[in-house]
Order: sequence, then structure tokens, then C-alpha cells
Amino acid sequence: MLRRKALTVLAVTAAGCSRWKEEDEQLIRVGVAPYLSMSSLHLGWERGYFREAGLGVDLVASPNSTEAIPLLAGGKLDVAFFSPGPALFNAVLRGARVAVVAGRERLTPDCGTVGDIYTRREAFPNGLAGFEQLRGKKLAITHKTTVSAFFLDEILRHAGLRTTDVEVVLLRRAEALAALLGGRIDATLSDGHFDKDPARGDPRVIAVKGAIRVLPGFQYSHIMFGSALLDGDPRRGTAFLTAYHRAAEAFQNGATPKFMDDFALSNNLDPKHTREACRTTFSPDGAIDETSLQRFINWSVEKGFCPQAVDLKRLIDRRFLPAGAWAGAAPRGTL
Amino acid sequence: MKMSKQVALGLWLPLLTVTGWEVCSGFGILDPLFFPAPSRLAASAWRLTGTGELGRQAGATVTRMGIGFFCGAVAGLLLGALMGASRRVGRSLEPSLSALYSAPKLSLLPMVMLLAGVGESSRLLLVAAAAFVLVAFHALDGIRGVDRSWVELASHHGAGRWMILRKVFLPACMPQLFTGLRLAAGRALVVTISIELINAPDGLGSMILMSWQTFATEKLYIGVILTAALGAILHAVMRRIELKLVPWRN
Repeated sequence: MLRRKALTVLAVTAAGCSRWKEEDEQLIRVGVAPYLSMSSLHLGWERGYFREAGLGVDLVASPNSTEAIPLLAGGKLDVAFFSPGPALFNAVLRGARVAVVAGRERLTPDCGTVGDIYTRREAFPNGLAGFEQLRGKKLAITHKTTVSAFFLDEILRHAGLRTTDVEVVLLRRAEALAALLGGRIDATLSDGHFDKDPARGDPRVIAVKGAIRVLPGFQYSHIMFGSALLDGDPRRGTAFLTAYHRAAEAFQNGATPKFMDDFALSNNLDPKHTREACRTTFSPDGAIDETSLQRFINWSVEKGFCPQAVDLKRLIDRRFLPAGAWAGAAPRGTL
Repeated sequence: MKMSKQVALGLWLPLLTVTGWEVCSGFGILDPLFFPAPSRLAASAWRLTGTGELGRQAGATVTRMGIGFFCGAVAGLLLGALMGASRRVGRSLEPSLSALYSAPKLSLLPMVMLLAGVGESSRLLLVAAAAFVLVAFHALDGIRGVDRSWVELASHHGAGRWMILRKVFLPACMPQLFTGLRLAAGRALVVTISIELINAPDGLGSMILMSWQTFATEKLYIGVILTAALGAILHAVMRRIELKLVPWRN
């Protein structure tokens, strides 16, 4: 009797263990940054869209793409939501199993702050009417390889200026903000949503539309898969993107995740204002704009960050895009 | 112990690590994408030395660290001596110095930038601050640790203030002071690299960050190894100077 009981306990434990292992293996680890632009993903997670698609999803905090790319290439993450950059291009060139599987956010004229220029009122008393006014000014970007550096080069090129015509300093966002308000720099370029920074409402700072004026419709954020999804059953990758796009669509139509309220509270923002913020930077169909990617790749090669241009065929994997997504062309009237 | 024996004794662990790494890479146990073989690193380092980049980056770090360390050490030495000489000054400044010692220096970067600007001066100020506190504390402890009976004995034999300072205080303080200088040099290097990782146009920290940003793993390892080697060289140089100037310590 006792032996039978012991065997039953062992069998149940073993079954439990194997089930746990099975679920664990199925878990998709998604690298997310603590930004409002991650709201659609959080919405899908909170509403159980991934669970309904038969997927276990674990949201792993990852501060930026620089950290996410090696984790993705090393198989520690399965999905990453970030801007591509030289790290991704070089990883693909060196044979890492990483690919862009969907597009996510674009520069739009009436929504978002990515690529905007935050100027000090004192440095530009009459505002920044033309980018040529940047000549001789001290500007901050986060790093030489980020999308803000690319935007700055494009803005300067558009104004007939060169990088040497301005003084570029490398500062993290918090330091750039402090330096801007303290009068140590004249302007800073946003490479993320300035949703955490109080500078937007500060009378000493003027926010000016920057990158959107020279790169309208530029797609700056994508979804990337690592080897587990790229080499596994393609239905899992498609199921993930389908569930995500369901969430992105709901988000664009006004559905709000609890994450937004939590985010507002933890960052001293007005929850109502945060909920009402525009949501049109998202591409809910996941279309990948090759022109934007190619432009960013060419810039990375020009600047010497990549030894050669990565072939888009190696970088992009469209097998997982749900039916109905674009074939890769830029939307009409952009770029 | 002979110098060559000492060097051999200190090198066995790094050599064993490098050999193990090379073997694991050769057998495919380590993914070359993330752990390139040491032989590949050596080839890359040779190439970077040829282009002058390695020398330029290491030079920028050493210069930044050297200037910051020198300024901080001199200021720390003066303040430590002052605090040791006057009990009142010592008591009034010690709590503030302790607070500065435990404050993470990099968290002060935004404030320092507002005061000193976004350029090189703010970086040097932080490196100097890191060295300053350690040297000041060790100078203070050195002076406080001088046996009063030695001073009384010297005074009894007719030694003046200058003679007591030169013949009693300085020799007695030197071992403690050198420990402080050695630790401060190490701390200055760590702070220099940390600042370069955040905000600097050049230097080994900046090179490591750039390699991380561009997935240039070989360059990343070269930066890290060079930084570690720099730390070891710094330690050895400080030890040699110490042995030369304070032979009675050993």
C-alpha cells in the first residue's frame, strides 16, 4: 500500500516536472524596454492574446537594443522590440541567427517625439526656423551609433551642414536633459519618446520637429526574432506576430493597458494625459519598410560602424508576417 | 625571490585561462561569435596597434587617469595632512569626507557637468574626486598612527619642528600613504573607464562601449584585457616606487 502511494507520488511529480519542462521550453522570452511605446505588447500580454494563441510569453526587462542584440543572438532572448542598428547588422554579417521579422514604428508628423530636437530657448530666442541655425551650436546625442546620430547626420545634410559644423557631445538622456536645462548644451536630439522627461513642459525648452522634416515616414523600430523562433516551428513565430498585431490594432483603436497607468504613476506623469497620447506611430500590419532599413545600413557603412552593407535578404525574414501585411514597399508619399 | 620567478608566479593563472580558452574555442565548445579565440584576439590587437587606434585609446585613458589622479592625490595629501595636524579641522571635515567616500561618484556626473561643463573638465573632476578621498583618508590615518613617544623622544633630543616632520612624521606615514596612493590609482582607473563608458569621445571605456554598440566582440575583449593589464601594470609600478622610496616597509 505504502509502496503504491510512493509510486503514485513519484509518477505525479515526474509528470508535473515534465509538464513544467514542456511549458518552460515553450516560453517565448521577449526583451522589452521600459517605454510607453511598449504599450501594445503589454496590452496583448494583459489581455491574454498570447495565451489564447497557445503561447507562453515572458516579458524580460532590457534597457536598450545594445544589450538586447547579443542576448538575442546568444539565444537568451527569443524576441526583441528595438531599433535596428550597427550591432544588429554586424551580428547578421557574422552569421548570428537574428532577423527582422516585422516593422513597428514610423516617424509621423503629428505623433511621437522620436527625432525631435529639444532646444534651449536662450540659445534660439526666435525658435529654430531652419536647421542651418544649428551651425556652431553644441548638440547632444546618446551615442554615435544610435538612431539619433543617424537622424542628426540626415538633418545636418539636409541643411547643407557637416558634422564638423556643430559640436556634438555624447550624453545619456538624463545628463543631456540636465545639461540642456543648465545651459551647458544648446540642443539635444531625442532617440526615444521623451515620455519620462519633464523637459517637454519646461518654459526654458522648445521642442522642434526634427527628423520627420527630412525623413517623413522613416521606420525606426522593428520586431526581431532569435534562433529559437527562426529555426523552430514557423507557426509559433506567426502565432506570436498574429497575437501581437491583434494587440497593436486594439491599442490603436483606443484600448489601454494597465501598464500605461502604472507607467504614468511611476514616472510622475498625468495618467489621463498619458492615456490620451497619440498612437499613430505604430504600423499595426507589421510591414517592413526596406527603404528605411537600407538607408540606415548605408549610413552605418559610411560611418565605418559596419565593414560592409548587410544584405536585406539576410536581415529580413518575412515568413512569420501574418497574411495581409505589405510586401515591403514604403507607404505612398514617404521617403 | 628573483624578479623572473615573481613574474612567472603571477602569470600562471592568466596563461592557464588563455590556454583553456584557446582549446575550448578550437574544439567548438565556446561560440566564436561571443568568445573569439585568444589567437584571433591577438591578431586583431596587432592590427589595431598597427593602425594606431589601440595606442590612441590607451593613451587617452592613461592621460585622463593620470591628470585626475595627480590632482586628486595632491589635494588629498594636503587635506589629509591638514586634518592630521589639527584635531579640530580633522573632526569637522571627517564626516563630509566619509560621505564623499561612500557616494557613488558616477551619480554625481549630471551635477558635475552643470558646474564644470560637459567636456573633459567634468571627467577629470570625477577621477580626481575618487583619488582625493582615498589619499586624504590614508594621509590622515598615517599621521594619526604616528607613535607620540617617537615625537617626544625626538623633541627630547633637541629636534625642531621641521626635523620632527622630516625625520619622524614622514617616514612613519609613508607606508600608509603609499597604500592610499596605490588604492587611489586603482580607483582612479576604474572611475576613468566607467566615465568613458558613459560619456567620452575616446579612451578604452569608449572603445569598449563602441565595440558593444557595433557587436565587434574582438575589439571588446581587447579593450577589457588592455584595461585589466593597465591595472596590473599600474599596481606593479606603484609597488616598485613604494619599494624604492619606502624600503623600511618590508
